Amino acid sequence: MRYTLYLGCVIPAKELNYELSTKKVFEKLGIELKYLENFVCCGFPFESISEETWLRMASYNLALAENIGNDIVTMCNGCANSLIHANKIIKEDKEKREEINKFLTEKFNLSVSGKLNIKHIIHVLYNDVGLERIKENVKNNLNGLRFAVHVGCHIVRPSSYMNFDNPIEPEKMDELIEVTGAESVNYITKHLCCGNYARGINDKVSITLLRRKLEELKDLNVDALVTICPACYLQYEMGQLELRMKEKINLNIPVLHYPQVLGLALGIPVSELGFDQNKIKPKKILEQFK
Amino acid sequence: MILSLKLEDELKKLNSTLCYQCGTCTGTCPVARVEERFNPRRIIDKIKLYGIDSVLNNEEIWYCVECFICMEKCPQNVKITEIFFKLYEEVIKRGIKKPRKYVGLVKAIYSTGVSTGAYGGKPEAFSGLILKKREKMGLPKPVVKEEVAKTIIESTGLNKILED
Ligand code: SF4
Ligand code: SF4
Repeated sequence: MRYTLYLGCVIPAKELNYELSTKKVFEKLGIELKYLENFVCCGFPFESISEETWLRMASYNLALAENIGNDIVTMCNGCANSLIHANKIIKEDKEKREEINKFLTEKFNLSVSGKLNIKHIIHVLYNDVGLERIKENVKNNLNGLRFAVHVGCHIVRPSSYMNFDNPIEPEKMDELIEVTGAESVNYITKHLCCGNYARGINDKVSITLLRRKLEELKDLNVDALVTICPACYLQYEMGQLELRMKEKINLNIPVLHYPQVLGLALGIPVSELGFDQNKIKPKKILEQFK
Repeated sequence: MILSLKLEDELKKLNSTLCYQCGTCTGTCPVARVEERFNPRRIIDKIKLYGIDSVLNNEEIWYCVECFICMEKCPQNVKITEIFFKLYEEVIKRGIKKPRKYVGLVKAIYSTGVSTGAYGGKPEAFSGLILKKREKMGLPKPVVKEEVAKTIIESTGLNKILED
């Protein structure tokens, strides 16, 4: 298995623990990742304010990857959503495809056909590697650890093009937790949006959504909240630091990237999974694996 | 006016006129749950009854967090979230409003190719500090082609949001 890794903006700047743990997990499972060079933003932030800008940005990145030929993998819900959506339009809408190719050829001497599959790491782990093979590779059973998963919105919706899991109550992340031997805790606010996108528009909404989930999790006494998107991760981790500073609310719930959890189960040393970068330390877990 | 008519047509294609006011969207919307001023059902109703111009100046239309729950649940298949996108595009095109969040994003991506650039200090995709940290962790230097973002943003005129 070989993929082109589309890095995106947030992870390579702010979440090196996500990038490192993904790299280590994929290495362990024998999956080759080749970094896409000369990329730009996937266009996601523009989809809502300028459809044409979004589609051109996404298509440029897709065209680069088509030249290399391997399917694309990304670690971000936003990047996955943007690239999958754009790719579908390119594949299915002849008129739009021709329009884009005229632009790409003229400006960058590139063209795009929609021939690649675009995947989030969760798609690769669940569909391509599969639970069976993951299970065979588990060296440390995480029995006794209790995780709350947060899947995020854009990896499952809109289902018309994301089409991966139940779009309202996704379940596959639970299976990916449980294959490690750990428990995926059920909770009321499980499918509630993280609120990251309200930042800079209505900060009160953002913080209220954040608190709803984290306060429930505090009562449930979970070992960590597990995310698969850099925006959700940032919201939950930085949001807690903000609450601590501004409102003296101390929730102290560690937030982990899923590959950090899987990495532990696969027997990858803690020191290679980037835990030094997690700002809220999962003390119990680190104690157990030291 | 002609502009609005074309937009009305696009919204119709997104099923705006099929809304029968059941309120499922507002009932499932995470934002509406915590912010009483936001009510997607009412916004769709206003568009239907009074036209787009009646909501373009409305601050609340920007409160949507694009979670797509309402769109998934709407029994009439009204593309609610995508209707909001059309409104945003129109607001920005007409220069009615320049939301701080989007100005920041366009500025960063326009000058560095990625959204994380340009915050604090001089605009660059990845600061020296980040690159050093990456090297220490055995991660390669990300290769971003900044001028591509600039070319694309200028090609659609979105750079106008950065003016004055
Ligand atoms: S869910 Fe659909 S039909 Fe019901 S009020 Fe909302 S937009 Fe209208
Ligand atoms: S997409 Fe927007 S309007 Fe619809 S449920 Fe989510 S936040 Fe509410």
